[in-house]
Amino acid sequence: MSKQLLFDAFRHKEVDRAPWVPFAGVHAGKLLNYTAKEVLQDENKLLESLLEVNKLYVPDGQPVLFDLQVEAEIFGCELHWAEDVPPSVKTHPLADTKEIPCKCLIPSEDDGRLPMILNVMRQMKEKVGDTTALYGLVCGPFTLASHLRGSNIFMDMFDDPDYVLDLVNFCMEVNKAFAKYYVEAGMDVIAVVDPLVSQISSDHFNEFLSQSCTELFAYIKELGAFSSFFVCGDATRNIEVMCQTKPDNISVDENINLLEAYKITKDYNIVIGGNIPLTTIMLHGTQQDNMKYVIDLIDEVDTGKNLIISPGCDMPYDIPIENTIAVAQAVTNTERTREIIKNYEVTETDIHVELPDYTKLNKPFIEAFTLDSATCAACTYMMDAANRAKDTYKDQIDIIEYKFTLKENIARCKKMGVKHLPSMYINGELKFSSIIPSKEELNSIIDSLL
Amino acid sequence: MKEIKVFILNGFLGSGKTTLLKKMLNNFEEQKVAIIMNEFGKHDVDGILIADESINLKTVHNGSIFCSCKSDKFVEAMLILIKEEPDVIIVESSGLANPATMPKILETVKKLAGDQLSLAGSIGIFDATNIYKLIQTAYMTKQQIATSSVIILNKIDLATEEQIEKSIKAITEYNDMVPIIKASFCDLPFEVLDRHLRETNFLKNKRPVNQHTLGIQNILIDLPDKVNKEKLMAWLDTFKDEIYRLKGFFKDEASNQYLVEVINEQIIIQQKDIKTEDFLIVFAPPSSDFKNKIISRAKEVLDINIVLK
Repeated sequence: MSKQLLFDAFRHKEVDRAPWVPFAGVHAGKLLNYTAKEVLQDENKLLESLLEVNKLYVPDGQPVLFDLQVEAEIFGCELHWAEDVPPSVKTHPLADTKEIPCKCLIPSEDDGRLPMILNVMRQMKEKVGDTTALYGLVCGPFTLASHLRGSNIFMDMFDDPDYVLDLVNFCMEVNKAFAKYYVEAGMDVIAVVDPLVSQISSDHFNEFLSQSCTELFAYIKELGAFSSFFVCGDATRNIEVMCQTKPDNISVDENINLLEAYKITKDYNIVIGGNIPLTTIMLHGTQQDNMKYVIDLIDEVDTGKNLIISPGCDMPYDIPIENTIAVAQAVTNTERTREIIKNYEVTETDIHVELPDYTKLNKPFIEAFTLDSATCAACTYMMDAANRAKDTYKDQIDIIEYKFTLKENIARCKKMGVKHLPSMYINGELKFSSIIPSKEELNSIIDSLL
Repeated sequence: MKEIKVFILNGFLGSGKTTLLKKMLNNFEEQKVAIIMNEFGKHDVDGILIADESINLKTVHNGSIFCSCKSDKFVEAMLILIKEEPDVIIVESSGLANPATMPKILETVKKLAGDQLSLAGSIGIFDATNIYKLIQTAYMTKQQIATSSVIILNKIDLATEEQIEKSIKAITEYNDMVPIIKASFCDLPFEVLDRHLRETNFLKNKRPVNQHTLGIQNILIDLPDKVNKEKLMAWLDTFKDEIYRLKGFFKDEASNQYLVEVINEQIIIQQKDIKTEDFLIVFAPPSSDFKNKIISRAKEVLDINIVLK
């Protein structure tokens, strides 16, 4: 993990590798079997989950909360909550009126879920703030305006543009207030997440958003934080006008070609971030697919500066943990991962691997399959668990590590049907996949076999 | 494997998508129908549909189905519905959906669940009282129009003649090939719809709206003075299904001048009695691989090194 690496990237310095920022919002809950609703509402569960993300995914930066409905909720939007996605806005308080809310209604730190969020931010700063840059996310002014007004806003843009401008400006003031709270709570980066930017033309961006966003990013800079401008969907046409509002970084999803976006952002000396596909690769791909995708992305785009590797957007809840581990490995140890991929692709079928006869073992046999415990954090923890068991049980058990960096180990994985790394097999049976066993869990299994 | 027909309903909130959906359900009485809904609207459909136990309904909340951070829920919904073996799946997408991402999503579903899905068509439902305004503000409306197999211009009973005329003009600017059916309450015989629907390919067949604003790349190819006509056609044949459109001029070995176009995967060559420079313009998806591909294929098939600009 290197917060400094991310800071250097934001300062447009040449870096040894692109920083890695997993957008683990509700997905953080999956690591500890908490639902989306729990991690977005429960302070302790959120903190625990974020710390687990930090441990397993070794991020250079990570968001504290990825929920674009926090502001809307405070303003009276009813939310629909779900178990594995962020909430959605059901009602719009300004749907039937063209009022602009009074500035006195700009939320204070005591409103809505802010107290919970700020507490978690402070604790994350304390616990991991030295090693990891922390992101506070705000719902961008146009998307927030649409939460308040509903889809009528698109008609308003035609029928009453002055109203839209006033509403967006109000939302920007809300963003400024939140940015201040978050920076004071220790956030290093304020990300302005505005998905609806992909829904409007560049002309309309200039008409309704340019001024607000420019003011907002200048304010974030004054606060002493870095700024990031997130957009979802195909906003290729708007990358240039987004650059002109002067954020430090623009983050895009898979609908935008990262290389093409980079060609625009580099001229403005803005860091581009993205954009590993969430569904086809991270959710449904294999670990090898994820490693390969990241390597190919780095090879295509990485020039040594102004690039952050991240998922395209908020990670789906159910992304296999091992896939994110694989991505982390590929970003933080690219050359080693390149070897893994090469070995995986060319592993000859005539590498003969002898599997033990698991029915005739003298003692419990722990086999840890890792990407590489020297460089992959999750793999290190898996091996630590095995080594601790060895310290406890000494000659009563055998342990061994098979690193995926060696061809014969790849052949062994294939022969045994090992699907995910790291995995722990005991006596030939899969016991733990990506999730690191506690001492008690592992000892209990060993005891049952002795 | 049983074929499952997929219909996509595009259109802004309040345009009449749910009204059309209900009418389509009447036409599919003999068939097993499943629905994916992607928007909170003013009309509570759930109650109506739940009353019909033969219909399997999945809802995807908070964000367009076609956004990258929501496509997993759409894929998940599809996979669940496919297991029930419906005859038809109707996707009622949100007003902000970008349908150009649909092929990739369906491809993912196909990889995971087999090749059962058949895209029966994309129906655009637009409100005659406001579509000409929405086109100017809600950007994805243009893409929805451009990729529609058929368009229902709805609420004509509420629209003035001027509004109807403006709406048709605005629509045809982005899709001059789509049949437009005027309707009130989406009241039209289903066989009329059915006749116009065909398997839609979102990345093909459609006129690009604006190459810079839809992420379309515009490639200019310089051709040599003379090319072999058959070889040129063979080369175009290798990528005609990957582009939106192509147009240009070339001379054959006998110095005859030709106009060449690729529209809807068809290569059209016409001899012309004009003198012009020889070049091609290609409107293609924004893939950095694509340029390399056509260069290498030109080398293989045409035996020339083409220059792209």
